[in-house]
Amino acid sequence: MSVFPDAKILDVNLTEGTITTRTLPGDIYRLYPGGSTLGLYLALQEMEPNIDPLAPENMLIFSVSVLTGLPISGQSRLVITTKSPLTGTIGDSQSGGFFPAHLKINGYDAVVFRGKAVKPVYLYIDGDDVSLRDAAGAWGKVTGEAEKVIKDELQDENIEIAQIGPAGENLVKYASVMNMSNRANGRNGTGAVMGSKLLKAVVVKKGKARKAADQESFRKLTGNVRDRIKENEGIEALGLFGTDGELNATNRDGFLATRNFKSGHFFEKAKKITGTTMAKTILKERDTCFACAIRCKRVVEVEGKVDPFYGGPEYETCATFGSYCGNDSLEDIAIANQYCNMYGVDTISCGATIAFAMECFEKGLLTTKDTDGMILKFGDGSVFKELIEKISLRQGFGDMMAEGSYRMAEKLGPEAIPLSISVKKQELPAHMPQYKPAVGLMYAVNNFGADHQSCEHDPFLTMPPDAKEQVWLGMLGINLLYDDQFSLDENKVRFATAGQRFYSMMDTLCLCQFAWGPAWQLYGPADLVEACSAGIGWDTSIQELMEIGERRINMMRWFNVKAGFTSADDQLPDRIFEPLPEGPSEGHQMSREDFEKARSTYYEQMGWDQQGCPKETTLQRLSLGWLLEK
Amino acid sequence: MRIVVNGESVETVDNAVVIQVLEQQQTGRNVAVWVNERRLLQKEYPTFLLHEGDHLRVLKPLGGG
Repeated sequence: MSVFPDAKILDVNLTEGTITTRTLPGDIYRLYPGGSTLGLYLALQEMEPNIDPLAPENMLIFSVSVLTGLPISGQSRLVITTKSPLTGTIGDSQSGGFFPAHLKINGYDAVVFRGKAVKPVYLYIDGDDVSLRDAAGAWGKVTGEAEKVIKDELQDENIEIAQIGPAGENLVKYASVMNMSNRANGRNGTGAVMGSKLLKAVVVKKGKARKAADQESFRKLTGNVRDRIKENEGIEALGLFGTDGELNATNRDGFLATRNFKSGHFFEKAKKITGTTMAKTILKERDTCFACAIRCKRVVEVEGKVDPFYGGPEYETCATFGSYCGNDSLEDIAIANQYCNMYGVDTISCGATIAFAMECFEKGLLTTKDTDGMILKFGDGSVFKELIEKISLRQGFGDMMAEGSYRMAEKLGPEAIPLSISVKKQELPAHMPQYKPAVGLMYAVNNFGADHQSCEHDPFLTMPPDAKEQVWLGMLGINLLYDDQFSLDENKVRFATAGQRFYSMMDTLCLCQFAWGPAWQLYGPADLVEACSAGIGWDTSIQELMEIGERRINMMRWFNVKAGFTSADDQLPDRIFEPLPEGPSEGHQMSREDFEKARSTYYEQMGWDQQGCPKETTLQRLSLGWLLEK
Repeated sequence: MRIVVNGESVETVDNAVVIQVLEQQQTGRNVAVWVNERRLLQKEYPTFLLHEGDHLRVLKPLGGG
């Protein structure tokens, strides 16, 4: 009998209205212990990669992990796996909050949705009491109102709700799934898949935190958490100033994506939208996720304009609705954040698509005839509210924008294509590849489009050998010392691949990448091995964990290859290879030759061919030989 | 005494050690430091004595989020 716990999976057929449970034996679960690795294990066995993402055949899988719900920081993350309507690749999106922990506390490791309901429904989960319920009262409502309707109907405040807003109902390609109305599974348009199934929400009854298998050992990790935070400058600052705390420093170096990536410098305006300014002005309070001591979440308020119920903007949101759009009004950013959370759209793709539209307008590729009379210009954030509503409801000009910048560019013509700053049709997050080339490489090769949380970031390799960051990276076999972050040589690729494996494993175990990680975070690689042992009695090693991460990457890649993706899709936008025009980074550019060489090296290091396809030996090494038989 | 930090001339106390300059510059300790192109270990920051005209390069690593 396996010592590894079995996985309990809820299987919901929305077409037939049936709900069943099944068990995945522990010896298999150990290979795919949660997140999108578990999601992919289920999807790859039952779903054709070539299907239409918005067809009933697409599976939508909510999953957590063996560690979710334990009383320690950074374990309450929900991963949604599905074929993405935005990228056409396998989709993967993560969120925090309390919903993930309570899904696991109810006894479930994954919920699989298939088919399409005949009318809007939501799934209610209270232990073994699981049912599909009529969502007519909540359908069409923004998240805050829908949450109220559901709580009133159930006459229960003691629940957590993951839901779509109107954007998901209207199949916006970058619609999110929201929980608490302010935590988003933002990327990849998973909300649109939920909308295509007429599934409004998933509701879980709250329960008590799980107990660790070895509580005394577990307390050695949790008992000193305040001291850990105090000793870790980066984490302490994250709590005080949120993820937006480093925006001004990024700008000072000349690499804050500005005006649709045309520049890396937002000059003095950056100071108006950085986390320290937020803390001094509109910040109402700090919020947290289940059992997390960091408290990095922002809650902001602008009387009569911004409701704290919808949380506050992260760094990415401050950049996409700020510098991307040339906008230095923190209030406009906070309004945009609220409307994205109300309507359920990804703030990164939404802000970036608006920045793209502003540049198209500047170049005459869009006129007021296209935009329902709206004037779109860099620096004017007053348009955000109306645009987000139009996008979410697919009204007028919003219908075109709801497709994302790349598909919009295809409609506008060849001149617009280079202005879409996207990879695999997903808009770039706010970390410039010119500043962090390993992250840039990861944007290109990542299986679900540009993503900034799929490897460790380059600058940590500049830290001295005795720094904590270097000691932890050494546990992954990375012992490198750079004088700056700009190179993209063979060793940097090794850093990227090792980091990708580690981050991929964290997305499997559904861990927050601020609380857990291989460099600057609250808990490091050795802590994670200890947490697995003390938490659930899983005696593992960094090697096993890294292999789990690598398995996920290869499963994703296999799905994409079968869906028709090749190395031609592992590209960066042309603009990234052009010299930056102003500020401290003036003249700096990423070398296309270095990038292409690094991509080739990446394929080699991953055990893939030069088309980016995993080799048979690689799949066999990772216990994925079964994929070859399908 | 005057030293140079990331290309800018800075006034600091005589016999300053690196950690004092980092505090003065509000960078925190979690940075990489070079003095006259020599990389320091983090454990040297509290004791490494600076001299008039020394050139410091201070690099603060910025992560994800």
